Amino acid sequence: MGEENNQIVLIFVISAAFVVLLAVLLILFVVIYNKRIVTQENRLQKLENERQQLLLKATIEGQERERSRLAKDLHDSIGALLSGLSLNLKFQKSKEDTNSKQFAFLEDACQLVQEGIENVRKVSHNLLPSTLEDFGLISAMEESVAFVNQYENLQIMIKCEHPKMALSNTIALGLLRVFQELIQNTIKHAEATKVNAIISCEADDIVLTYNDNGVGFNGHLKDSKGIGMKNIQSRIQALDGIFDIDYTAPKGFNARIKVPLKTESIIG
Amino acid sequence: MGISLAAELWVRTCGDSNIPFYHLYILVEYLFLLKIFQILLTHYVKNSVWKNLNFGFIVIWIFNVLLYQGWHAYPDYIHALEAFIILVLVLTWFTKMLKEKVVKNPEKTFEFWMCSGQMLFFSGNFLLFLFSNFLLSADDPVYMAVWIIHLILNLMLYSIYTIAIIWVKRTIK
Repeated sequence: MGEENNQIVLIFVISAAFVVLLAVLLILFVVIYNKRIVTQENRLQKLENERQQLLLKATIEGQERERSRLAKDLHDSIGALLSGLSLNLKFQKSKEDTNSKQFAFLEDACQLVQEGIENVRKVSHNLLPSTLEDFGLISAMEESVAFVNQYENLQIMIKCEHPKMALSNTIALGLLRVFQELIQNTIKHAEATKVNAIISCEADDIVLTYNDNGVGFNGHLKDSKGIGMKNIQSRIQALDGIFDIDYTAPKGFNARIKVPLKTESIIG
Repeated sequence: MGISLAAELWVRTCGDSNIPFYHLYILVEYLFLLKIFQILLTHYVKNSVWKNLNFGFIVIWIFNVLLYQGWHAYPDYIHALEAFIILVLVLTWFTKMLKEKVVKNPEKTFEFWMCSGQMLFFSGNFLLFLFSNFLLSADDPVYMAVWIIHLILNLMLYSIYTIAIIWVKRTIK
């Protein structure tokens, strides 16, 4: 093999080294470029998540504002109207003979109006739970299940491990709505006889542990194709919380809701 | 490993050229690497492509061994074809990684190191594989220089494979 061929071989060697160098550069470029686009993608994703979170919070706040307006309207207009009507009927009734047909008719009417006043009060109270602001989350939870404990074949135990815990109104209202939704699901679909709800504190989080002895998770999902569950998830997401369901439990429904107690949201 | 051992035993016992084993080695290596890439590029490359790559290469390999170069010729074209296909697959994996935008630190994954090792090895050796019959006829010093480069690339490939295996272990942990 001549000198010329040896030179060709040398060119091969140099070419191989050059190609390896190019491959190294290409790999470096891929790594750096990939890091850059992934970081950018993560940043965009984070912004999108924040936007979604804000949107969710705004929607829930809007819902609560609307409920509050409705509650006030019901209480101030229809409530006042029915009270006036009740007074008039009672006045009219007092003028009638107690044995007359008119008296019996007015008696019935008074009773119906009284029921109307009571119903309006209940609806208004459900829409705007004043107990929550006046006496706190536990009292509001107890109040919202008072009717269940009276009439349904269901025992509801509510326990708070930190009775002096101070919560912001947003977190308390959110947890109350979640609790009400879970109770509704249990009553409607779970066929349970016992419910336990425990409020506790874990580091900087408030935890609501909920369990019933019903048919389990599938029962809770029956609620309008799981809309109740979606509402719960939205509310917890709006509070930056975590919603865990124990799918492994052989019987009953076990859920754990963990919401961070942000420093700015704690009232004294 | 088995093929290398058999080739070595063949030389020591029969004293004949062990090039036929090299043909076999290329086929096994290609099919093994293709299987790995099939796993790495699942849902990204169509199944028909893998079938074509498998059967197409086997057909060309058989044609080369039986009808074209024969068992005792150095399989330069087949080896260059293998290198080319593997390089295309490596580039496909890199493209997939860039498109998916999921892996933030590719240097901490087994797949990245495996692909990088193959990229360096096959790109560096591509010309050597393609013109190896010509290079075999070179003067001893040049011939040695060429195969030293091949050896260095081999060492580099297996060092990178070691890093890849370390990352597999860390990922499993």
